[in-house]
Amino acid sequence: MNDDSELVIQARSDRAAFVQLYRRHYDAIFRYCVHRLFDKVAAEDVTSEVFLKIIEKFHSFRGTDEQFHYWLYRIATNAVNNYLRKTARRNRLLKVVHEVSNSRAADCGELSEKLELLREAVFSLRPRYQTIITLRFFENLKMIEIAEVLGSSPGTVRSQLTRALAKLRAKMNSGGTT
Amino acid sequence: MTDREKEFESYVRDIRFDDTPDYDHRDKLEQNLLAALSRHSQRKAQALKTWRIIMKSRITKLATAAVIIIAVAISITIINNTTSTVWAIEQSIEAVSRYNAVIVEGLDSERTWRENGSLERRPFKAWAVANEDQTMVEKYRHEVNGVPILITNGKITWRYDLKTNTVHVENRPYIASECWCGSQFLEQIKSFLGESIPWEVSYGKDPATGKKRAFLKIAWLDERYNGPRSMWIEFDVESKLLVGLRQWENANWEDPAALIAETITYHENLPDELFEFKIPEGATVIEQEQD
Repeated sequence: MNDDSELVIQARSDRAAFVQLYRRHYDAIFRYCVHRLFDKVAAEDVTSEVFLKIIEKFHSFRGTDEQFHYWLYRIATNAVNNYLRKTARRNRLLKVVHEVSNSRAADCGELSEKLELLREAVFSLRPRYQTIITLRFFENLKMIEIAEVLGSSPGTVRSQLTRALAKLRAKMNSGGTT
Repeated sequence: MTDREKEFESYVRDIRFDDTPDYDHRDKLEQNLLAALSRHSQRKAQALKTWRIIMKSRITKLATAAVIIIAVAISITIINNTTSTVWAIEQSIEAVSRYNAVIVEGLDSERTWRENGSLERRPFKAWAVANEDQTMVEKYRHEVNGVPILITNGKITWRYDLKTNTVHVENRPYIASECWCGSQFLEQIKSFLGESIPWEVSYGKDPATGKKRAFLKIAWLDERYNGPRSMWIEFDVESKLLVGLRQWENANWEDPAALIAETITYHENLPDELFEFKIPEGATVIEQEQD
């Protein structure tokens, strides 16, 4: 992770510094959203929401550059979970779960079978487990870093990761993978 | 790394995830952010300009200080700002999602009226474990005056009638989505805030612990959401957790409350033994036919 302590301070009042900070973190946040949502279009929407929220809340951030990184992930996690809840609720009301998820897959190009199985398995987990799995295996964060993002202890994250993996394995095995 | 982690890591390594950013989107968003930054700065600059004008004059300075103190005090005690309340509930949703089980103690009503016209209340204690996506209760135990009257382990449901010492057993789960004070419930409350229904927020302290609390009063008529109904919901300001709740089966908080949850505590999980029913000695057991 690049050291951008000075940049975080400058970005509060300097537009050029803010743009630099934004460009440094855009890719990571976008990719995290894609890995959580399995959908690039949705990931773009949520990424936009994340950075707009940062403008609103930037004045209240009082931390180091390392904490800024975790803070970004925390805002992104909340935004993704919010999006998933709204989508699930909307789908229940419209009773078109299958049609919507099929059309999304078509919009994004055909997901590979393995990716589709992973998507179904991950979405069957509760949001917190989804977050931990994604941060650990797709963002390659360490336990202590995930704990910082979630405001938890590394021990709690570790035990939740174990449970999440057990549930994932059971789900994926029942889906017929090896 | 455990074997399971290695196994999963190996599985995902082969997956092709199309996560390449579209730099058109990045650039367009950058322009939107700069515009948002400008608006944000203009609002701050205007506020600062106004402040500077006020601070030049001693008389207006004192008057403004008084107004600001009162406004801040009012905003601390009563906030009816939808955006900040929605944000607070989102934080609560996030806080609650960390837990998978709750224990609730309070009073519910048998809907039995005493001769003097008052509603019979019963002290109850309930244990609940959420289902996988935390939308409904999967396992539930409900005790009244220390006696379990309803238990479900997610597959079998037992209902016990103390008066007749009878146990009704059903080979199906009892799922009550209302019982789970999790994201689905809070999400619904949050959606109500944007509609033209009565609600207000106030602040106070828990008399027992001195901890800061936020109280949300809300009412609705919509039958789809079991209306007419009104609620008083207590949040702990520090943890953001929902810690108390009262519910009325009318839309104007008119007593008596049908349910008073005086304490709600949160847990990662609860022992499975809590959700198995021990048939009392001499009880009549009736196996219900499935519909």
